[in-house]
Amino acid sequence: MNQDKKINIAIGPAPYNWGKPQLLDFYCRELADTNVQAVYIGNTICHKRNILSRDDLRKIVAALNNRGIKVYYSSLALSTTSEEFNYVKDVAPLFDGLEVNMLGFFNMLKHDEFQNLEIILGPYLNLYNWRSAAYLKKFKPKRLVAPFEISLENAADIAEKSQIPIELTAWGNLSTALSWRCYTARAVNRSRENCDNICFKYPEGMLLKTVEGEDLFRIDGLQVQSAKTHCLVEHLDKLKENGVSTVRIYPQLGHTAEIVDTLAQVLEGKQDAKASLEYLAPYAPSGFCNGWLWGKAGWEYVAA
Amino acid sequence: MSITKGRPEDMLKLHVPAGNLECLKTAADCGADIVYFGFHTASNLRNFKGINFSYTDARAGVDYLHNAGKKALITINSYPQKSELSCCYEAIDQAADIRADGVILSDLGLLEYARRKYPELGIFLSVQAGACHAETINFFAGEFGIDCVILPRVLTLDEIARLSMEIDIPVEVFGFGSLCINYEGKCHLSSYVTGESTNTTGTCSTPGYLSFQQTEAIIARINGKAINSFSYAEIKEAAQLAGKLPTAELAQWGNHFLINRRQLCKARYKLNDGDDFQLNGFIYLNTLSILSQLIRAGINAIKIEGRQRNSSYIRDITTVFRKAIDFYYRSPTTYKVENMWREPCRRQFPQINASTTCYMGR
Repeated sequence: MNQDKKINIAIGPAPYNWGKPQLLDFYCRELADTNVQAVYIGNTICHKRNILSRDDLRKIVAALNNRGIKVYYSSLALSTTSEEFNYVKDVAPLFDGLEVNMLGFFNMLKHDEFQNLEIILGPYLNLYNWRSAAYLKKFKPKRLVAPFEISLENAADIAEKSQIPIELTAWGNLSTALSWRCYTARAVNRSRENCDNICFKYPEGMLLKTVEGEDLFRIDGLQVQSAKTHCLVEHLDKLKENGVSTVRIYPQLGHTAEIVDTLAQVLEGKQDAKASLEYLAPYAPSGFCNGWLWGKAGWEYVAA
Repeated sequence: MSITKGRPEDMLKLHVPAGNLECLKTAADCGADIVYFGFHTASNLRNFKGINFSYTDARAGVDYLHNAGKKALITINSYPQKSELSCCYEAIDQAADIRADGVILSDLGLLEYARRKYPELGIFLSVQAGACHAETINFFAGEFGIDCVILPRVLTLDEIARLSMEIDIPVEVFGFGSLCINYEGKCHLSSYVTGESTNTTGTCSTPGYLSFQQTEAIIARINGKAINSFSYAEIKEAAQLAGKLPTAELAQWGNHFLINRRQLCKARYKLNDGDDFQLNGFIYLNTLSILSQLIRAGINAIKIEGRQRNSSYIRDITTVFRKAIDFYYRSPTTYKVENMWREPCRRQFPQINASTTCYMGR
């Protein structure tokens, strides 16, 4: 499937807590000239970080739509309150579609105002096999974002047997855990309930090193991420033949546009993959990883 | 299934694990209402060597429980990938074949299979499904007719009380045992460091990846990553606090001390600025002190963690929780933790402290 189509590039939801000016600048200015086909907006980790107003969201969606870019809202992956759930219900109709990261959001799709939304099956839904993916076909999903730790072999099996195109993360710090506890608040001796949005001070997260000083994880509020940057730039040629329709780039503070351009050039065969990896190295300060794609430990890196 | 909701006369059900037939019989004999266990395959978490059931033992276990008037659940709560799918379907078939009362599931494909093929089989939604919102639980209820939801350990007492009012199916919570600090089904720490996934193969920081380097301190590594460093003085001090003398027994105790601290969520990290940081402290869950609050919050079953634990643990903890539940229903207003219950709990987790985790607030 998808052999004759080009692979699209999507921008995943922004991690951390960048604050309103930084978010507006990122979506309205930094992405302005990049070659992307889809953008996801919304914080999947913590509702307190949903700081853009409806007007802000409308403005971003209009600007990106004008350039032919589809804009999706990414739902929370862990929600325990009605307030959080109702917020997603409220803003989702402003977008072209909804990335569902919690199964409960499927309940609201039967209502009229959500009928035109394109549905993306999010990476937090734990769809590890084709039968689980196929069960959700009744919601007519456009794509399935593969779980972070899935191998290419398993992603290809899901794509082939469920006939749902796969979106695969090709760049970013991957989610390695979610918790009820806010680790950023814990690091500064606060509770989650009284955090005062302290994560605003850490727009690139907080590094966790081993006792020997090796970068191992990165804290993003309720989430723990890989310290290393998951990078598939050397393997983009293998993705199309394995049912991947879209590659996802998770944004980072600065240089996201350069990263997008580099991957786009490699996808179009205009740039050498090895040379691109060297070019991208400064944007991955803790180094590269991609072990999960090959069924290995996530921190490992497999070269082409 | 035997768990019901909304009838005041229904007592809280005690749900106890078993890693082998001896533990299963102990659980039944000590007062469990329901015993849960898994097969010897990658179909369940706690897929460790030396525990879990053969088909023959599982059949014998179900018969034993039914003869004692108890219920049997088969845990099939991994998220299988293509190579594990068939063993999970087979596990569901076998659970039905041996007349288990239900299965504990989390994967959508397995839920669909179990409900379609065995409409009479009870389905408990595993904690691994991470269903912590009424809309999500209602999704599973509407799609698969689940009989009970096992809540993730991410909710406060107030949230449990509210949730219990908002859904029509019975609620089960964890009451005792080892404590995952992360949201179940969304923790890949072990997978990232070792390549063995908790979700797909049911393993977590397995001891096979653990190694020690002895220098001026003991450095513990998981798959080469230095996750902890303990000075000898620190281990000795902890041993003295636990009443251990500097004998041959101490070496064994120290070994356990290190092995018990191997999980990546309990590792010692260095933050940006060099401060020590742990995702989670060295704690275990014990809800005896808040049992009455949990019951008033509307829970219908309480679960003991630990299919990997031995029959001494099962005997101690099942006995204590049976007494506690019976005490509460005999006299709800005077319920309190009896002194004689404390020692068996401490005995099973001698090197770490008890916690009520986020039940009392985040």
